[in-house]
Amino acid sequence: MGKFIVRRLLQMIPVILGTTFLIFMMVYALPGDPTDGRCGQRPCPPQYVEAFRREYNLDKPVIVQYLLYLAKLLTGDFGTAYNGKTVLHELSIRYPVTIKLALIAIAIEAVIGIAAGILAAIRKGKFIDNLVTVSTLLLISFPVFVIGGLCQLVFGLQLGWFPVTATEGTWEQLVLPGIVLASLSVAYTARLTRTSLVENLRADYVRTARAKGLTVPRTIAVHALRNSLIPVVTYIGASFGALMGGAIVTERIFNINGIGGYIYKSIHDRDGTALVGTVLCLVVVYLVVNLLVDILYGVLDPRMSHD
Amino acid sequence: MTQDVAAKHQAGVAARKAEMRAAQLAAGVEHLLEVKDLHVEFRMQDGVAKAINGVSFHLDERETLAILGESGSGKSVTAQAIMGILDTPPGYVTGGEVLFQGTDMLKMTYRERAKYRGPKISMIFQDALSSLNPVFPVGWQIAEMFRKHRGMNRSDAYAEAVRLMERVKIPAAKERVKAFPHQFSGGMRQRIMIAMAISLDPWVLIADEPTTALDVTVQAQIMDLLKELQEESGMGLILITHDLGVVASVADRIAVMYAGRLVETSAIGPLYAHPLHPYTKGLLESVPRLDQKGQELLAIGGLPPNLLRMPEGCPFNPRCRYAFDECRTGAPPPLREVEPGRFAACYVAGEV
Amino acid sequence: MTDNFPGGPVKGPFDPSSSANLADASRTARAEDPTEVPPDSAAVPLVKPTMAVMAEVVPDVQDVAEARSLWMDAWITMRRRPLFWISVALIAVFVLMAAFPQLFSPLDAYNIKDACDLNRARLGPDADAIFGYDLQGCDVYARTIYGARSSILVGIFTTLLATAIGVLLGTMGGFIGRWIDTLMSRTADIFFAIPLLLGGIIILYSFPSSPDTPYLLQVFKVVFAMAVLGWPNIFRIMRSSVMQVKPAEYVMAARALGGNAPHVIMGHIIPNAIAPVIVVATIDLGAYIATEATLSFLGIGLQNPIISWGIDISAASALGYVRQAPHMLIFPSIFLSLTVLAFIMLGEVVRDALDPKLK
Repeated sequence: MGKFIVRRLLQMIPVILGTTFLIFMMVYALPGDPTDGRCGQRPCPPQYVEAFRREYNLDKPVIVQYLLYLAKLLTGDFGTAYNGKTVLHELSIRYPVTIKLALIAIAIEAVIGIAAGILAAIRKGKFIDNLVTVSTLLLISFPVFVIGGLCQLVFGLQLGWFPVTATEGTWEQLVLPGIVLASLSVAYTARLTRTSLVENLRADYVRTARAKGLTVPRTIAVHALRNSLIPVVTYIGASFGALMGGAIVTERIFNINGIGGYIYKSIHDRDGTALVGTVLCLVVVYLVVNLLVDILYGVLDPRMSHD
Repeated sequence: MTQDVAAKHQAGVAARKAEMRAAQLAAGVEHLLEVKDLHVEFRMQDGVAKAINGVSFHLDERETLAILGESGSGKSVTAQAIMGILDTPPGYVTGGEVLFQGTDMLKMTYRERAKYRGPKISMIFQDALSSLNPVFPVGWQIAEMFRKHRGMNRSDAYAEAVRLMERVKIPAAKERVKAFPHQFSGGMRQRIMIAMAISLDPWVLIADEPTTALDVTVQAQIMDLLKELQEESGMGLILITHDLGVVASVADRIAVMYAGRLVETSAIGPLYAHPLHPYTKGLLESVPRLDQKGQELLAIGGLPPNLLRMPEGCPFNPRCRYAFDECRTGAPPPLREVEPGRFAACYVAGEV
Repeated sequence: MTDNFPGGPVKGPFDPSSSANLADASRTARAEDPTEVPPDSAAVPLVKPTMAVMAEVVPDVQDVAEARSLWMDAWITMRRRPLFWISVALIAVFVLMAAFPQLFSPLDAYNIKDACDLNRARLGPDADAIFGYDLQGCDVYARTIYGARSSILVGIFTTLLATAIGVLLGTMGGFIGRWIDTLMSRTADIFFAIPLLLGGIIILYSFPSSPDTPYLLQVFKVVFAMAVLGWPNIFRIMRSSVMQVKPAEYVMAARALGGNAPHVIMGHIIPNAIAPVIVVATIDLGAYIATEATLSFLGIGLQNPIISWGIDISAASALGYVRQAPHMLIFPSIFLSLTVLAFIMLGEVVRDALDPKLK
């Protein structure tokens, strides 16, 4: 197990270096003025451009620029927003609400997605299976901002079941945004659970479980499901990337003052440092989550980690 | 676990079984397991495949019955129908009886029947790697039998698992009880399957191609182990195989299956000496033998029939070199007693 | 880093549950084909020249026939399914709408003078404008019709570009192997590790469009941003598909007969390996359309005055307007969702037809 984790960590390093390098090149090292569009609607004042070039060592060779940039990232320096506060500071006051939102979404994704997938798999070809297939197809096809807008209109305004906005970010306010955010991943989770369980129900070891005289619920819930959930759990972890993208949209629709809302605000205010710093931070978080998911996969599937 | 305790355990089991058996005999039940006119079909999109068409046989204590046939002949389906673990849908038992000590298991509910699997009748499969659950330790999988059937607690059940792993001769059982299936060799995995199957001292053990996936040397070890376990416990053994070599050394009686029917049943010796059915004859001729070195190896031409489009008459007729007009029309020839204790489903049985 | 579990870290555009087995689709269909050549037939032609002539004909007929019969079977299955015809009809309508919007709307939505009248801003549907009017008093129906072009163009071009890159590199990686494969796979890992929307924001931030950037250039920027992040999807599927086809007898035969590499690749490998790519590319096309709309919704994709469903939905989804004039939100939303649905549905129908086992 230890060896497995170390190997995964080592495999992770080139990917982190590669992605940060890619983003760095794109934003800072390509021809053109990297300060373009960083200062709101007006062109940047010369002092700012000067300071910016110094801060990012743009007069040095590219590789040195990148290494110095990487060193900054490692110390948690994601840049300074146009308002003079560090990006890290801006994020630190905003992350709790986004974490809350993500937790609600992941809980919905896991509970409803897995439950729907199990139902569809054990009633394969029956009404409930078709229902799950059709409704997940619709959820996948409707972009998050469409679902968000329609939910806000129907459940918030017309039916009045949920608060229309979540400006304060309380748990209660975040339920509807959480459902909206989860909509895409919940569909994928349900489909993956279904496929995986259908496949495992045909597996030889499930036949063995029946030959052992186990009850049907135990055969499904313990023997088949335990195996089927391995890819599902790892997918839920990996769906984090889609959730973060969705959070930008969801927080904008429901006026939530979290990290996604901050990204939207940065786009709107054309605050480049804040935007790039925040997105980069999310990419790194995503990579770390992926690493954890990979390790979790090893824990769940002994074939991966026990040699 | 000392040798002593193990022997005592066996003695206890044997005594219990003897008592029950006596009661059965008194009640007029002839055989330990009796299959009567079993029919199974698979209902699929492109039609109904009649996989088993009226199979009957019986099994007694301490007896080994070999069911022999090509893949697709229905031998595994027969085993699964007896166990009650057919995949439904598409598989359905459409007729017949499976009598265990006189009780028809086909009339039981799923739950009643599940209680028989393990303590009464048990099964091992061809591919132990895929038949063991990859994500649970082997000890856990053996212990599950004791926990679910006997309500034992976790640690006692684990102790039983170790005892069984020792009984099937897995070295360092205590250390390996928490290992996962993929960490064992093929032969060891099959031993674990066997340990699991015999854990509750079943009366009948069905072994579905238990050695097909193994090396030749390991094959012999596994067959020896099965024989030894049978001698200790007195269980009846149904050995399903396509390998005549395996059958010869172990089985008492043999039932040859073709296209979902029995075509010949016989004690082992006479069958090898002179087979009654042309199909059996073909099978025997296709086995390479040292004493016939240099001669041409005869394979049976053609392929087994498609279960969706069974030929008229005898299902073997398209491949049979003795077939004549009668074989090609009407119902398949019935199983008839050609010699005392020897049955064959062929019009020319014994004359070929 | 994540090639060990089905689907990997999914970037949104495709369904992990379906792609896992897709690479097997063509292979499975082939294995079950009863007309398959016996395994030893490929070895024979090396011995006798006369046989070699035959073999040259046989494998060609064989694999082309196999690839064809795979699609023939799929076609026979598909044409019986209403979902197939529904999605094809929807796609046909939307493509027609993109090409000739004037067929659907007598009003030219780009002609502000005709299509907009501030006095009617946010008015609901009436006889003149069946979808009502937007913030500027423009006809929502006309704008919705004219918005199709952006979505369809972006979707098709992104898919073409991402598929071209993915197929090219995937074929090279799978066919050549060795360090070239390693290099490409690791590069793909890096691009794969950036979530589509987040990466799209970064790229479009680096290549910003302003309202006066020409239409096609704006479209190209969005296409470029998504294709750069989307190709690894296709690459991975193509690579594993090629690696499965490569050892097949007809490829061996073609190589043994001295068929040069490009000929073997173009004539034998790609036709037999492409099926799963087509399925995923179709599903991805829908996802790219959704992502373009999302980027435009966030204000970083296409820019006003270009008409795009994303921009219109964004304008309509301010809270006050949702309450007051929901028609501005609902109609472009429905069109957008139907377009995405049509492509994803088509992809799934094709997938089911190619690999009935998955159903």
